[in-house]
Amino acid sequence: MVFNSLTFLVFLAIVLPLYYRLQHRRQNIMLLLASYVFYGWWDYRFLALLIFTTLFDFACALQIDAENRPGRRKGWLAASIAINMTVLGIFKYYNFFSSSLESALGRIGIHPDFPTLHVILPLGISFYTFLSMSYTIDVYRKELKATRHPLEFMLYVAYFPHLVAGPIVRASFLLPQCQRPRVIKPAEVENGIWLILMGYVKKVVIADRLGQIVDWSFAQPAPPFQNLNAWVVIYAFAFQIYGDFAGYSDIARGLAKVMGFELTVNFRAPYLVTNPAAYWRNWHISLSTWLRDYLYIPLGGNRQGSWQTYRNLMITMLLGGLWHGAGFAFILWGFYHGILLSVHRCLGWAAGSSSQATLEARRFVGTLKQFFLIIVFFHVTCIGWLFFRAGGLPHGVRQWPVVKSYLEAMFHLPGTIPFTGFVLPVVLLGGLALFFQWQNDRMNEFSQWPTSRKGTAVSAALAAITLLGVFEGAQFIYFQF
Amino acid sequence: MFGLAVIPFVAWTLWLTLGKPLGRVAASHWGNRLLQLGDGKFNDPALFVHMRLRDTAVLISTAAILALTGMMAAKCYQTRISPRLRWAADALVLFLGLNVFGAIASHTALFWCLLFTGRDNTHNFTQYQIKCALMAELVAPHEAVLLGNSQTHAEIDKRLLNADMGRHLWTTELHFPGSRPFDMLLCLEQLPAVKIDYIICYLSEGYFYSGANSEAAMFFMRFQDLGQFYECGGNKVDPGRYFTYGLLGDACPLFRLREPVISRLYGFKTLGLAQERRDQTLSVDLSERAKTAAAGYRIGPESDFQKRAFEIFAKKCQERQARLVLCCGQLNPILGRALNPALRPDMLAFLHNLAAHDTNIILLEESQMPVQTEDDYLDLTHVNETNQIRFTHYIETVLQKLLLATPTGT
Repeated sequence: MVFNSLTFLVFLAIVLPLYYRLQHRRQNIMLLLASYVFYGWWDYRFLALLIFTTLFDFACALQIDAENRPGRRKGWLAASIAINMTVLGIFKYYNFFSSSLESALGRIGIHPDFPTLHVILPLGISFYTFLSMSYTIDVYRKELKATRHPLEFMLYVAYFPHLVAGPIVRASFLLPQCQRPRVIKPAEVENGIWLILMGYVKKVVIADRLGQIVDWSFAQPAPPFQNLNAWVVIYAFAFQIYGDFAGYSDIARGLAKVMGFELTVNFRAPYLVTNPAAYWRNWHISLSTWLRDYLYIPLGGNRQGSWQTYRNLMITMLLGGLWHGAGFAFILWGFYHGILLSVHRCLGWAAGSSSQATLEARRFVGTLKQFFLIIVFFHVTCIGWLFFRAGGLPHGVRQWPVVKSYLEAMFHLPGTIPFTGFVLPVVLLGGLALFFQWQNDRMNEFSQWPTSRKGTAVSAALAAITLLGVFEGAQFIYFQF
Repeated sequence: MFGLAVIPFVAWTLWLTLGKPLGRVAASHWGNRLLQLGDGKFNDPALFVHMRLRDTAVLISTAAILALTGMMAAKCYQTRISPRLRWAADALVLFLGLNVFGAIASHTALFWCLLFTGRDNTHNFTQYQIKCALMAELVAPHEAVLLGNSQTHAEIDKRLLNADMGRHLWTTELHFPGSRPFDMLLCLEQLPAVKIDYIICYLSEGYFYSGANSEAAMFFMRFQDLGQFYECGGNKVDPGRYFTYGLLGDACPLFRLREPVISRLYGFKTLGLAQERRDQTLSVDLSERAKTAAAGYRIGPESDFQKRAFEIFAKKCQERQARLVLCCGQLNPILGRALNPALRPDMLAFLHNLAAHDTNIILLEESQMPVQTEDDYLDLTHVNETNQIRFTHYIETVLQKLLLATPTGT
């Protein structure tokens, strides 16, 4: 079930009234069942996998909590991580690694025949395994007490707003909300409604429309345009993926708010920053902080000298790239961002710009240098998006030649050919995406707006969705991860 | 508030006093240029300008009245509902107002003309609406309408027809608003109440046997058509999502305007990208393509549904006193050969039976029409220009005979 489908609206029309009528414990039971229906609607067979990993991690956490011997505790943690990684490995990475190994060995004259697994990737598997795994790690670190109520833990993992595409909410943040009765605050319901509407605008008005341009362009045998027009296609993808993923996160947060829950903020203003470190504090925040806390810092972070810091950065970003998908283009994307972060760290690029992006956004208005750096860094990000988009090419299409041909087209000089008809939609919709980023803080404070502005904004959002939306039930890009 | 109340009076007074003189002045200065831009959609420039000024008055008055109503409504509910919910009421009123404005604006030619971006770069529904809205302004002793899918458009050139016999019979091509009989039925019911003498359709197997799901439903389906849908046997077919979109469009007029507005705002090409990608996956070999296409043609509940719809369509034409000229047309012979051989006899038997019981129908037999071979086609359904000219001349002779046979024939 996708948020932008009629089925989901019907689902919501049943779930929400029921939710408001029930008491806390029954609310949890109903939400868990609803979440399983939401997930099973796509393919009910994978529900078993979801329930298995959830219960396994629940049991591991209980054992870790009850155990005092460090070796045993570590053993249970290893078991939890091993099971989660095995599930991910089988469903997501096995075919990629086996075929890569086959072709690598083929080059030195060895021709092994590894079996190919004919399995489809379970929806949102990377999200819920990371979510579940972080819980056992937190319990192991004694940052969290293991819950003794399987229902609450199952709801934490399967809660439908975040289940298939995040945000990856920490157990310490969401689990207590499952455990105690929730208070529905009118102001939060208002904020939630606005977040849902804004999320739909980002998804169906911005992302899905730009997606048509991007998909068409990448379906051509060669880049259809040169120089600036080729950049326009990559800009379109940059705004598409922002609209798609930030839209999903907004809808998820909005849905949670109308039910009295709170999910973590996942996006701020990623295209209004001046450097890669700030970018990762604004883009997919729940993943970047997850990688920081559970990978980068355990690897040693920046405490072991410069070279180790660069090594840790590269490992973290490479694995971050691999998290997004089993393919060289995603690894390349991770590598590219690892290099950017390392170079930034090495040169102290745009020193002093590590404050919040929204503050930067305000500051840049008066600073030409900031403005220039934002534009430069946006283009740097766009090159990364080219790798990322190549990762989503259909099976059988070789990714590197596509990346190479687009890079050649983008840097083909001189840029004298006229603009294509795609410039206008990209400028208009990209402008709207940037507006949402620029006004990010205000967008999260809807309940404090004057009444007239609220009414105008809501009707404008409704009109935009109705008049300019794409209603073909396009999937969210991050579902595949 | 007073200012808003005065606006409609001012707008209409201005139109009533200055509309006609301004129309005449504009026609005397730019008449030929306007006719050229109109591309046959109207033939009296003074009337065209006069009526567009009326459309302007309609749009201005509607906006003013809606703003006034909204303000009055806000005054009423602001004391009755909780301050915390006032924004929701404001949003609802505004959104409703926008929809009402959209619904009213979509009945004016001016609104659609604003969405026009050239003959080859404008959404079909925009072109259809402009042609429909301007039909009432045509000045001709007799009027004919070409109704049907893009095959009708490809076979008959309305410019050629109007150049040759426009003084006696003006032909309007509605920019292929429907691809199947149920679409044509929906479309017929929404045509303006003007006297139409002939409705010309070029029929082929594609109309009856290629399913029930049609994009046209998105633009034409209304709740009031549900009865007709079930009367045709709609409960036995899957009408697809466009049918639901049509009903949504009826409930929320902004939704109906979606594609034309997007086409105007983002460019015509942007809207057709998904279709272009689908077309790119088609085989270049017409025989291969014909085999794939033929698999979608069958006799079944869908064809029964379309036939029933066509029967009602014929009946409605008779009620409108519009003679129905049916061409027993064909597809590219490559596709024709790939189709189930039972389809063509079934279609012909249906049309003959219909014509036998309805004197309003003029059935043009395949044997009477110019022969079309594989070489006459650009693809599986559309003929080339040479054949279009040939077929248009044939239709011209038919229409001339019909005109001579009518009591007021010229």
